Amino acid sequence: MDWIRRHVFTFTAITALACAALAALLPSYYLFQFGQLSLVIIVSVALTVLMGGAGLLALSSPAFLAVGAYGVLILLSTLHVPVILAVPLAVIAGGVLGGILGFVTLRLSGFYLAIATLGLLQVMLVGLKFGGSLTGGGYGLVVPTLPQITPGRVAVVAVFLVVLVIGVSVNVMRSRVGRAWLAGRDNEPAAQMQGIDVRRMKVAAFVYSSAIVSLAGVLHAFLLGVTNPSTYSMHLSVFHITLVVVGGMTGSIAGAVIAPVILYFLPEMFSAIGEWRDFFYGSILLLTLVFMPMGISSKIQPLLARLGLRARDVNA
Amino acid sequence: MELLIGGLAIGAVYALLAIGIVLIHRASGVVNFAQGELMMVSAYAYSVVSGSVNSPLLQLVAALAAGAIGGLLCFVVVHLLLPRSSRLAQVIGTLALLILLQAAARYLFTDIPRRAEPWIFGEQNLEILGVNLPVNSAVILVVTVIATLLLFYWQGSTLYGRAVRAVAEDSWRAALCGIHVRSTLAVSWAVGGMLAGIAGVLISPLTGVFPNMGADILLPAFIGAVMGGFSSILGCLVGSLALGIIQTYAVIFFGGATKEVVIFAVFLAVVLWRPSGLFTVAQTRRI
Repeated sequence: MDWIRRHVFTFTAITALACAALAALLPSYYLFQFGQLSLVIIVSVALTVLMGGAGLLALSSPAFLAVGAYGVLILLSTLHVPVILAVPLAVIAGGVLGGILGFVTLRLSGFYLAIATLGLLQVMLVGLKFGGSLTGGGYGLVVPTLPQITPGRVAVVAVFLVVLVIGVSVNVMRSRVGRAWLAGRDNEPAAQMQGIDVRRMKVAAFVYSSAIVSLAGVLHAFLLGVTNPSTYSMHLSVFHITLVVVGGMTGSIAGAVIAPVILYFLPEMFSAIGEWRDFFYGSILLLTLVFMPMGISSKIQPLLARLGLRARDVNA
Repeated sequence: MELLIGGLAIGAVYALLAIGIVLIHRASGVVNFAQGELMMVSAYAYSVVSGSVNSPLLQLVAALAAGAIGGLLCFVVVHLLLPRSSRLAQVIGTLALLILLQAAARYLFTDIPRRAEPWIFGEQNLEILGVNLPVNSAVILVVTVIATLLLFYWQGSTLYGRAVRAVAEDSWRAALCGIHVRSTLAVSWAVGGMLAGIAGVLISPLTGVFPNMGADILLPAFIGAVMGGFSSILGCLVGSLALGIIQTYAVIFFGGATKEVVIFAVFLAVVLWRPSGLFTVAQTRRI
C-alpha cells in the first residue's frame, strides 16, 4: 500500500495499461459495451469533481461533449489536422470554453452558473443545427475513415483513459486543490479566511471538468462513428446529474464510478424500459435525493475502509 | 408596430414565468427549474378543457388550478420530501420534476403539438390607430399587467401578503410573530404556479401545446428573473418585456436561428453590467 501511495501516477498508468490489455481480449460486442460504459464513467467522474467536489451545479455537460465531438471532427475533416494533434486540441477547446464560462459567471452566486450553463447548452444546440456545412446541420457529422481508428481500438483506448481519469481525479481530490474545492463548497467565507482564492478554484474546477467531458465527447464521436445535435439534449444533462447524485454529491470518486455501472446496465437488462427511460431516471434521481442524499458513496465508504483503502473522509 | 406588440406579448409571457420564479425564489431560496413545466401542464389543462367546455371562465380556472397543483407538487418535493437537504439538492429536485412532468406529458399526449384556441376572443383582429393587431397579443399584455398589479396589491397591502413577504425575508422571525411558515410557503409556490398557469393559457395559441414547450421557454424566463435581480417584480416585468422586443427584432433582422444567441448575449450583458438586477440597488452579498 505504501508503494502505491508514493508512486500514485506510475500505479495508475500501470493499472490503466493492464485494464486496457484485458479489455482488448474481450469479444467485440462486450468491448463496445465497455467502451460506452467507460465514456459514461469519465463524464460521471468529471461532473462529480465539479458538482460534488466544488459544489457547482452545471447543466452544460452535453455542450462540452459536443465541443469534443464536433471539435475533433471539424479539425479532422475540414482542417485536415492529424489525429494526434486534433484530439488534444478539442480537449483544450473544451477546457478553455469551460474556463471562460466559469470566469464570467462565478462573480455571482451559484445559480447564475446553472442558468448560464443552460443558456450555453441551448446556444450550442442552435449553433450545431444551423452551422451549415461546418457542423452538418441536423444530420451531424460522420467520422472520416481513418485506418488507425476502429471502434475496437477506440474502446480499448476508452478503457485505458477511464482508469487514467479515475486515478488522476482521486489524486486531485486528495491534493491541495481538491481540499480547497471541498473547503470552498462547505463554507466559502471560511475558506477565504484560510487564504484560498475561492473564485480561482471554482474556475479551475470548471476547466478540469470541462476538459475531461470534452475528452469523453471525442471518444464518443469516434466510438459511434457519427455525431448529431439530437444527442446533446437537456435530457442528457439531467441523466448526468442523476449519475452524480446517485454516486453521491460528496466528491467521492468511488461513487462516481459505481453509479454509471448500475444506471447504465440496469436499463440494458430491462430493455422493455424503452419509452419509460425518462420516468426511470427522474424517479431514481428524486428517490436518491430523498432516501440516500449522500448517494452510494455513503454506503461504500465503510466498505473501502475495511479493505484498508480508506478514502479520506470527505464529509468530516 | 405589429412587431413591437408581438415582442411585448412574448415578453409578457416571459415576465409571468419570471415573476413566478422570483416569487418562489424569494420565499424559499430555491430556483425552480420546473417553472416552465408548470406552464406546460396548465397549457395542456387549458387545451383539454377548452376542447369540451365553451366557458372562458372555466377554461381559465382549469389552467390556474393545474398551475397551482403543479406548484404545490413542487412545494411537496422541495419542502416536505427534501426539507433539510442543501439548496443544491432542492434545486436538483425541481430538475427531477422537470423530467418527470415532461415524460408524463409525452406519455399522455405524445410529441405532436395540440392546437389551442386563443382565450375568450378567438382569432380576431383589432384595429387600433390604423394598425391591425391580433386580439390575443393585446389580451396577453393586459392580463399580464393586471396579474402583476394584483400581485403588488396582494403583497403590499393585504395582511396575508405581508406575512408571505415576512417569511421570505426571515422565516425564523416570521414564525416568532405567529406566522405559519409552511403554509405561507405553500401559498407562494401555488401562486407561482398560477402565474405559470396564466402564461400557459396565453402562450398556447401562439406556439401550440407540446411537452417541450416549458423547457424551451425556461431560459428567457430565467433571464427575466436575473434582470429583476431575483428579487424585484418590477425589474422582472420591464426586463422581460425588453427581452421580448429585442428577441423579436433580432429574429426579423438576423433570422430565426439567432434567437437563442441573442437571448444568451443579453444574459451575459446583464450579468456583467448589472449583476444585481436592473432596478435594484447593488448590495453586498450576505454571508
